[in-house]
Amino acid sequence: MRDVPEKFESWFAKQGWYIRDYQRKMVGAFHRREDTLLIAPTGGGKTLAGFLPSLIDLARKEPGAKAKLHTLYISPLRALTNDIDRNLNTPVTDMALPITVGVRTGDTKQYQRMKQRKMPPDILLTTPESLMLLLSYPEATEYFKDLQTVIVDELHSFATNKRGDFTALAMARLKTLAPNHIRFGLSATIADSSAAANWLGPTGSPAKVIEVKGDAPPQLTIMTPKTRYPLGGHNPRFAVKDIYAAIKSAKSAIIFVNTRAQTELLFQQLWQINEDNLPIGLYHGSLSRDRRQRTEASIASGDMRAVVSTSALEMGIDWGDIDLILQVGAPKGVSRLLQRIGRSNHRLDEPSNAILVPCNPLEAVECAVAIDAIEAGQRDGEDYTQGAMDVAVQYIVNRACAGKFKKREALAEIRSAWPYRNLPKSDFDLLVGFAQDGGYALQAYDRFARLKSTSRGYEISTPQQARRHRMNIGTIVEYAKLKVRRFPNMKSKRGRNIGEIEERFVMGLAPGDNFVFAGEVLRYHGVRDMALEASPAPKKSPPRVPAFAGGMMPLSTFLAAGVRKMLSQDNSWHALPRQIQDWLSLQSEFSQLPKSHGALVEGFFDRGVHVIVIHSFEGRKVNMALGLLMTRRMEKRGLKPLTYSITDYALTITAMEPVEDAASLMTEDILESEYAGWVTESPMVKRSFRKIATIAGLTEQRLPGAKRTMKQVTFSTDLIYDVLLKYNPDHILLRIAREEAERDLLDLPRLRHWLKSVQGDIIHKTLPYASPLSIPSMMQLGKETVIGEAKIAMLELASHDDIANTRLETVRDFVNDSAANP
Amino acid sequence: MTQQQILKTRAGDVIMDGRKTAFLPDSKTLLVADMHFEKGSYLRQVGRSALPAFDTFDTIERLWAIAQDYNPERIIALGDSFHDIEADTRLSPQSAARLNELAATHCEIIWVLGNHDPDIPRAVKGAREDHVQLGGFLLTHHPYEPQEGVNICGHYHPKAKISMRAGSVTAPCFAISNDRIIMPSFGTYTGGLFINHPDFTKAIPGLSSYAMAYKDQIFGISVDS
Repeated sequence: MRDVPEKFESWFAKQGWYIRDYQRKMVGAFHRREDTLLIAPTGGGKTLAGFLPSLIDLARKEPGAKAKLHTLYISPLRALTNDIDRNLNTPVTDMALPITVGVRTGDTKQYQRMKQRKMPPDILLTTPESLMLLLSYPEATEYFKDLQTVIVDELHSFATNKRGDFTALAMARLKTLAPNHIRFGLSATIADSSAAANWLGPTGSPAKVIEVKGDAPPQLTIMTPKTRYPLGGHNPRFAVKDIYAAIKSAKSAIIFVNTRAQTELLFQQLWQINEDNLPIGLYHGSLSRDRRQRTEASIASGDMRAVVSTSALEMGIDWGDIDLILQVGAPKGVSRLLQRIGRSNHRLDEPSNAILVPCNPLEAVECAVAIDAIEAGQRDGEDYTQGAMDVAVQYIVNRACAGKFKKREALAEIRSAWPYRNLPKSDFDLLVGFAQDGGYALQAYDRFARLKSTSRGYEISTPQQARRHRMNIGTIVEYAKLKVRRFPNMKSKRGRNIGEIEERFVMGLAPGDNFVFAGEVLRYHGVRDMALEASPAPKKSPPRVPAFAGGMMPLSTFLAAGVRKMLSQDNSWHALPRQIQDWLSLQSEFSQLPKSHGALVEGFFDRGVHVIVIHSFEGRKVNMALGLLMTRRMEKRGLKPLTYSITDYALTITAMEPVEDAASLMTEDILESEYAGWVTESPMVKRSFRKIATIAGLTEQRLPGAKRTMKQVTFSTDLIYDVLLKYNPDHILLRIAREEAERDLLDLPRLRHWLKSVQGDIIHKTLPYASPLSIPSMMQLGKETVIGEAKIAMLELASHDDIANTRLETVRDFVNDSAANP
Repeated sequence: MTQQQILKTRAGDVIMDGRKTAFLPDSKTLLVADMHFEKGSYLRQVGRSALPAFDTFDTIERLWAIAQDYNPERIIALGDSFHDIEADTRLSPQSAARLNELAATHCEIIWVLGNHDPDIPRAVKGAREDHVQLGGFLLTHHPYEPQEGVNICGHYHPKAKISMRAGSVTAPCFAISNDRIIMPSFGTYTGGLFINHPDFTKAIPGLSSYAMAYKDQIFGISVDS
């Protein structure tokens, strides 16, 4: 009897469903104990397929048997675990199954955690961070030993980043604790299923793949507003009326935007014209748990007509009644767009319905390319990288918190996670050394070590170190955050926490300033006890929109190439809105269109500075790296570069002197001659050092119960970087930071490849004004990076202005004095 | 390229150095504030950082270099020279020796005591003082109302930010009024407090200008009233 019990068959029938073929296959895979990756389009009952074998197995449980953890479900999003909890409850209740389900995330309350620890549920739903935390306790050995299945949901979102490395390590640990369990991976459609199967299985034994095809193709359109398209920026104001009309015509809609700031902005704009008082909500990761859960519930119950959201609502969440998706701003990747579209009409046989709202001409082109790609069934490729070293350090410390470990065993365990299959022993030794005492060159302070080496293995040195580690588990490095405490009015003493805001933003506020948060305009009063205090602002006062960190999404290589191709071929423009076609024609008349090969550089004089725009179409990372290297060379040549700014499509450099010959600034040898001098002082390397230092546990983001006092004024990690570089340049962390910056922030390999391909094929146009194609990039100016020397120049300018003012004052005083005493 | 800037005060000249120190030419005195020696090792000790701590070493070497340029008769440290009361137990003998060597070859070192360092490690030579009156200059850790003349103090780690269309620069600074100068913090691992922070309105009521120390250069900037 290897099939689905009668009870389940009839439950499916009662729902008006039938058990799909691949859902049966998963039951078979469970019985054969096979690691399996299920790839299916969104909305096909994929999650249920993952849980079905466990539900069937658990249904046979003896009543009164000892509570043991049977199935562990790992999700990338907290919201998803709540949703799955709701959805699992239906079959469990309907069939009266003797199954308990528990949720364990950062939102789980302390008493629930205690209860879960004493009485494990049959099925535990968790996130990678909470799982790692569970694994850091010595009791983990007992807790996980009876585990039968691990289900990794939305696997495609894990597989290619640090969070994926982190999850892979946690899974490797689980395999040691419960060697007989199997792994199920659930994934949306991906370009390379064999790489994902490798990632899911332990090193050397890839998971089996079940791939489900054949969903109805989505119906995608680009919104053509009556108003004019803005030439740059990402503000959807111009289309807000059309967006509102679309919401009105739909039963229920989700409006996806790309950053948290944009959710707040668009939400405000929609409410300004919301004459019918439609229930429109907003959703993003900075809102408090309460608010998020309330919004989730009201979408699920159908009370909400529309919700403006970031990617926080992107994955898995099953809301049947959504019949329209709006994507505001560029999609940035085909897979991401598909994921978002999949939110509507959550059934395999009905097409999803989505409208794309690009906010500038290049975004419109990007949208058109994405639509073409989806129709042709193409996907972005994923880039599987080697496991990150800082994550490995965190894992080693985590392992030490749970009990003694031997180096040899720990290395074998780490290597059994696919991203770390090639970790050299020499590097592993350095990492353990670093975890132990900071990899200190002067062995003077080893009594503050984190790990203690004993004859029976390594262990955590003190309970404080363990406590400190547990508070900092994770791979998402965030800026310091403050709670936002809302008071009904200025005199009230009873405030409520409504979310969190980055400290950086608060620094720019003065008491009395207004800002937008959680969809309302608040007046800032001050900061107390790590919380920003605010109350609703009087109507009609112009607010600021907070900057939330981590908003930038990288453009996929695949889409970038598509955009470039579409621009170069005017016979493919028919997919574009009329306005955009006109804009491109204008570009072609005034300057020229970029070709599908080579590089177009445009130079002109604008508001007192010389500007060159390099239209590379190679993404932000390549443009960033190119900007760093080119400005160095320009500085050497006396061209006095001032600033540079980047978009996904172009690099813009401003300078005091005109650039005559752009090609000579873009030769392949800038990678050698400019790079060496640049790399050590680069802000990019410092930036990756900052992240790595936090993940590896060098500095921390959350102090236990800390509040900031004047004595603790933070000193930046940059200082540490400088000092380490001066006295211990071979330090392992510096090496990791450099490697990571080259790969993740700058993508030097891709830059090298591109420079090589454009040699001899660089067209430098000198123009009287900024061309249509350059204008979107010009809009970035003012948000750019100032070049090293220019900072000094700025200070000199401020200082000279000052001297001039003083001189003027002196003259004034003199005149006044002589007037008073003739 | 200004490395120093002379500030004329009612108590005499003060040379502000871009390396975050000040020199009083009349008395040949070098002033330095908030060195926070052993802050790195303190963070390691309390488990807040696993970082190699080279900060004490770096701070001392920078002080040496400046002392060699000015050849002062005395160096006065305006408090919080050591990060905490237990710095004594962590200060390496080499660092203590290097400080004493500075005193032996160059000049006298006077330690004004601050809130972080009510006492100075025994291994370190030099007088311990609550404050020092030097001509018209009253040298303290916390701000102190001078009867006449000028008060020079530390404690607040002032920093400032210049924002322009092109971007912004943040750097430690000297905060200046008619009768008070608050020195920037000198220690390698010390952070700063923006001079528009409310604490400064009390600490330096008549703030008239500030001088930013950036990459060893100094930039004087006046405050718009």
